Amino acid sequence: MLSRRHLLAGLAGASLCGGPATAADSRLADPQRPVHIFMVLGRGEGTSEDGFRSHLASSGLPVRYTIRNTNGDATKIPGIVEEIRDVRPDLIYSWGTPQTVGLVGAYDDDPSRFIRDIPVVFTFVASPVDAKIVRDLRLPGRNVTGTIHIAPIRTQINTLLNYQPCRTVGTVYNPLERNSVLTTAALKAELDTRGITLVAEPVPLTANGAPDPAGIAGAIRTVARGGAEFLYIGPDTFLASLNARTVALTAIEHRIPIFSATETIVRQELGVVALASSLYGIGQFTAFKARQILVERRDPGSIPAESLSRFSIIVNMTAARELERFPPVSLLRIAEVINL
Amino acid sequence: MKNGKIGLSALAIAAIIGSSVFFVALIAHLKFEKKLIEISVSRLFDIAHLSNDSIEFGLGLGLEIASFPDLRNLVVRLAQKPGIETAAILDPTDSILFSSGPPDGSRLPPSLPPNTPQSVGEDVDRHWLAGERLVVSAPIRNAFGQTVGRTVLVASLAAKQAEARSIRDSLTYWLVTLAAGVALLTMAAMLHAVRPNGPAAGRTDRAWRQSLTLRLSATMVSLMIAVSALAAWGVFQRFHPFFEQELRYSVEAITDAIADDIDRAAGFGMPLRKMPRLDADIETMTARHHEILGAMVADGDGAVVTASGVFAAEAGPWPLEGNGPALPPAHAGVIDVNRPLDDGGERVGQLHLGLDEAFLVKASADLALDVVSVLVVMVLIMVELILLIVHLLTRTPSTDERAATDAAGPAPQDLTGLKLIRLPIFLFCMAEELSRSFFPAFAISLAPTAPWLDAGLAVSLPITLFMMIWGVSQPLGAQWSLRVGRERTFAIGAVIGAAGLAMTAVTASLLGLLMWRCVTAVGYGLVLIAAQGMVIDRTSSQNRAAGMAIFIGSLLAAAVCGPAAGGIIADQFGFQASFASGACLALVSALLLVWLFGGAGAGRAVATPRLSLAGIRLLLADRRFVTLMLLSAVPTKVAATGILFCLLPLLMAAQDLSKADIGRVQMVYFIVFLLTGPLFATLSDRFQARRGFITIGGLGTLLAALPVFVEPTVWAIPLAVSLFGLCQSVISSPQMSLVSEIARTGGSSEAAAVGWYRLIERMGAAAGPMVVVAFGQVTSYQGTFLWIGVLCFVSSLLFLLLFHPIPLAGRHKPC
Repeated sequence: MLSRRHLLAGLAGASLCGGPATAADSRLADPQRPVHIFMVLGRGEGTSEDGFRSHLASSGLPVRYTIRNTNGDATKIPGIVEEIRDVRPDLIYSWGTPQTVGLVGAYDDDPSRFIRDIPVVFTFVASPVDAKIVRDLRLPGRNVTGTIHIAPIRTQINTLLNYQPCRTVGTVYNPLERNSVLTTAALKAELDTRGITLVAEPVPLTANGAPDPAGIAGAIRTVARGGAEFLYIGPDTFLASLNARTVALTAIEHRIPIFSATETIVRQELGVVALASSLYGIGQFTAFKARQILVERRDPGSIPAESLSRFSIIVNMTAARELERFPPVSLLRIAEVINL
Repeated sequence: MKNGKIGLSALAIAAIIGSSVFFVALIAHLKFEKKLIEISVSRLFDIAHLSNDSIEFGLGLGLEIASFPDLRNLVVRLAQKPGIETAAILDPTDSILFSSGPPDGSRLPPSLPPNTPQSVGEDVDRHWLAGERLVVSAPIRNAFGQTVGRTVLVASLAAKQAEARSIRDSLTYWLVTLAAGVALLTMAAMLHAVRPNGPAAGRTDRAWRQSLTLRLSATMVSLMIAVSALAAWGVFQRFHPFFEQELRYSVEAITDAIADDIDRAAGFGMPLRKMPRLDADIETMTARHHEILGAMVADGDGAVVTASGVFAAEAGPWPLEGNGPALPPAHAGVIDVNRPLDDGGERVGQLHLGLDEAFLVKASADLALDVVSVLVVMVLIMVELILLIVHLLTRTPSTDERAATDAAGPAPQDLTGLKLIRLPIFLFCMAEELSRSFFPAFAISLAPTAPWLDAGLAVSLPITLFMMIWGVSQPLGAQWSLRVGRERTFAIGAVIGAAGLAMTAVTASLLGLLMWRCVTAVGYGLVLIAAQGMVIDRTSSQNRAAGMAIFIGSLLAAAVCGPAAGGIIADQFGFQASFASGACLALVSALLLVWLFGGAGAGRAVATPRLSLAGIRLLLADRRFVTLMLLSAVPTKVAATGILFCLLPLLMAAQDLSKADIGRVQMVYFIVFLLTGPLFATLSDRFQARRGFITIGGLGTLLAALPVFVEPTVWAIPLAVSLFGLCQSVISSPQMSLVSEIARTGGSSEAAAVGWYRLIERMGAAAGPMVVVAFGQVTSYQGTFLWIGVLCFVSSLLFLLLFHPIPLAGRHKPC
């Protein structure tokens, strides 16, 4: 049988990551059977899933997908865990921090409630260590590895300062999102090392303890009065996704340009510049790690969890013109320019 | 004197001068050709990287490389740049995705080197020559650093090479005529000086011989320098227009890239004056190009928007039509390369870059240094040759006879026969010295063949083994040469050395290198001991020092020439060629010795004292001898070989300096040693302050390390090496004198003491590279230099404290 095994071997050798030829000796009991990947998503399929599928398809690996979507409702996860235990897929693709924590638990949780014997690749987890998904990014050490969609804070600040050197940077954040609080602390530490002042303002909470959308404008006003020359918006769901329009319009009103760690506020609103992972690229990179597990039979615990080494710089020229804060011409060579 | 002999000698000198001119021209030609390719390579990479930036941007957006809509247009545009024949984008298996040439890829060079991007980030920029084509390949990486393809640019060198050939042909004709003319002139001058009824007729006295040597050397050296300089200048003149064009292309590629950036920004509606930090961006893009002296952007009205460098003082206005006004006279030597800036066809400004016309001249400084090195080597070779010839010419039957019959040693001051030995020693030592500048680099290149050996040891072990075997082979070789004859020992040693060097040239493993270096060391040891024996046989105690000076003089001359010449050969033709040249020189030395001394010599050898154990026992009982050995002789030699042969090549290679540079710096050491050695010998004798001289030399070694420690630049390293040479030269002669004095006052045989001193010293020399490696494990190369300086400093201080001045005669031991 000069069968699929050999075909797979050839493809593995010829393709990008060039696994050893012996990788043909796949973990699959029956080489004719497609690999079964179980996708657990949080907001339906998007560009990153396209990247994931396309990378595997172009490597010639036959795949059968099962898709489950929580739509942000974490209570659905235990049911999905039960289903996974029944069907026993070859690999789980997990999108976002709540889904991933729900599936595999923190490393010090009771193992009986979670999936511990099927490899999991996660994506769109901003900080897997803080979420206790892995102890060490370089060596996850359990059945989990994956990709991080946020650029390292240092790279973000480099990009911001390349756009415009600043002495004071402002940020607003949702104090209820643990991720945002940690990002703000990291931002302060990074700016401190460069002698740049950070003016940070939490969004006020309503009487019942939720972040108050009506308080966003006030928080940005405080930051602008604090002398901020740029407004940093981190991977904060409340501000960068749900209330992106309010944030962008208020910033324009105070003539303060927005730098964002995710792309929505720049792509869809009047944020000026974003340093974001290419959604397609992050999907491809996740697929690359999946292939290392499925084809090269590597232990997920030995595959580092990483962010991309290159990010997209997105410049909203409409906003830049509005504020007369133009990017340096060299940045335009590598940036995606939108809203002409 | 026979006319035939004179004619032959004149011919030899003429040949040396002719070949000097030839070598200078050859070096100049090769240098220029190399520089031309360097400029082309750098320009092609600039173009490839700029194009890769935009491809990688597209990859980040999620496009597959094969599905890019406009890559075909991109490669066609690339191929329209001057000199580029074909541009292509290949996938990781080297299949052509897009090509500006025919779809079958027939215009790509048939043999692309294998591309093996097996792991992330492994693939790198590469370039190579394929026949008459220059190919550069720059990897394209995706968002997570994997190579997904490469941009390949093929530039035809056919036109350039044809032009270079025609230049070479016309130059060859011109140079051959020139060299022949010079050679004829030389012969005429020689024949005039020594014609049978001329001023030389019948004269053989020493004063006349010296004056003839001096006059001949001065005439020939100045002739050689003048003509070689003329030849180098001729080559430079012919190549100049060539360079200018290539350099202009290179600057135009940068101009285009900057203008493209500005055009793009203008296309997005950014006004020229609102583009932030335009000056900084331009600065970044031109930073790598030292030939660009300044940049300026003028707006649509010709007013200056930003200006730097030579344009900094310009206020404008600069009309957009044509090339603008000529640069003011203050900018003589600056070429204005400019390009219009536009926003979709509407002219918005003009970009100017200032190209340094003198850049080519500056680029030739390196060439000038090479030419000077070749000249120094040629001058020294010629002086050796003239000395030989003058002594051959003035050798009379009576002096020959005296040398042959007076077994106890010829009369003082008659070293005629002995001086014949200079050239064979010089040639043999030069054969060995050729590899001095690049030996560590060569050893490192073989280190992967012996993965069980640490890379530092791979460098130091061959040098240490060589020194040890050389040290041990000396006392053994001395006895052996007594039995088989000095001349025969010399010839056999030279042949063994030649074989060792030849095998080193072809060895491909570190183990082979170690083995063949040992063989070479045996040959080297035999030759040196035999040569010393020949000096001793032919001198009496009165003129032995003068005889030894002849021997040491040719050793040092070889040490000056060897590294510089070897470095140039290795830079141009590779390590192997340099070792092979060494093998040839060693063989020539053996043949020359047989020709000059053939048949004579055997049977009148004077026995040298054995290195007896009893002798060393007596010496070791003398605290002064032990102190001198441990605190001065050994540390001095550790520093000498460690720094000069091991650390310096490593340090300089780490600074990206060429092998020729390394050779030149090693040459500086020996020149300093050669020039100042006699001075310090005289001074230390006159002041009888040997302990003081030795201490000062040792303390000064730390001072010598400072320039390198502060800043290892092109100038600090030669300065440090000169100081280091000075310190070694301060120590050298007093140390030797002290050994003799200790032996005299302590009742040992002086010869035995010197023999043991040399052996112990050589063990220090063998340890030198090991000490360097040991320091290198814990600190940087600069730090190692400093630590060796500290070692010498501390041991000198201890020496000063512990070594009691030589007591009056009769007192054997200091209390």
